[in-house]
Amino acid sequence: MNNKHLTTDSIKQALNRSVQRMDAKTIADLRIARTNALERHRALQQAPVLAWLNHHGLWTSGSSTNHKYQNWALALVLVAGLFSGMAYFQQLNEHDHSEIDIAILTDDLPVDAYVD
Amino acid sequence: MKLILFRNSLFALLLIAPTFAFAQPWAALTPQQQQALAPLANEWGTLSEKQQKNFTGIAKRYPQLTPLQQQRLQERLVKWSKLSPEARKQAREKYKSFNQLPPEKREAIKQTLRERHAIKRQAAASAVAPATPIK
Repeated sequence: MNNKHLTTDSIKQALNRSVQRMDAKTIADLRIARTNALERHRALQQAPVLAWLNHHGLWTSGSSTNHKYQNWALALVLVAGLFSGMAYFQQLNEHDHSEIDIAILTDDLPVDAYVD
Repeated sequence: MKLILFRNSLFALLLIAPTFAFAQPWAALTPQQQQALAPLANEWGTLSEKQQKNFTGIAKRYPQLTPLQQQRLQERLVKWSKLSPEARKQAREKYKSFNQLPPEKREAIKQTLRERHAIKRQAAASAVAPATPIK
């Protein structure tokens, strides 16, 4: 077939002819592959975070065996984020302490007045 | 796959890096921090990491204090560092609630506290003084 005469309709017809020549097993496999691809696409659409991670190469929508490792990696990132957040808020609290500590240590009343 | 796992682990490590802060030796403090915290020089190594962080926060604000405040702070640093965390927490709470009182009431309480402390100091001094022989 000359490439210059390729149209959408001619491609469709060529594909349909090819499908008719395919054996039942190949057609069944293709149908399963299409269903899986659509399901994955739907799942990513429902989870924008995963879609973002996938886009940036931090997540792949691969086979289910890969998902096990990816889940661990994602859990690790989440735990790290949690720790980091806790450390940040702890630092903020300590910062507040130093301010009030200065006020107590420079007050005209001795420290004992606030401790007793 | 391994690359993604490695990249995610690296990302996780970078996120938790701030939590792994190590205690600072006295020599690692800046001259300005050392000057502000001079009374603590001998016991700096025995302080907890949290206490050290708190004291470096105090040292940061030290230059903004008046000479009288700087003197008071340095006189009280050692005593403050030796208090238990609970006692320091209690003192902070007391200070906060005390500062919410109206100024005239605050001044009256301050006067009472000053008198009470003066009596306490006198009592402590007489207890330490050598006993006079009974004739």
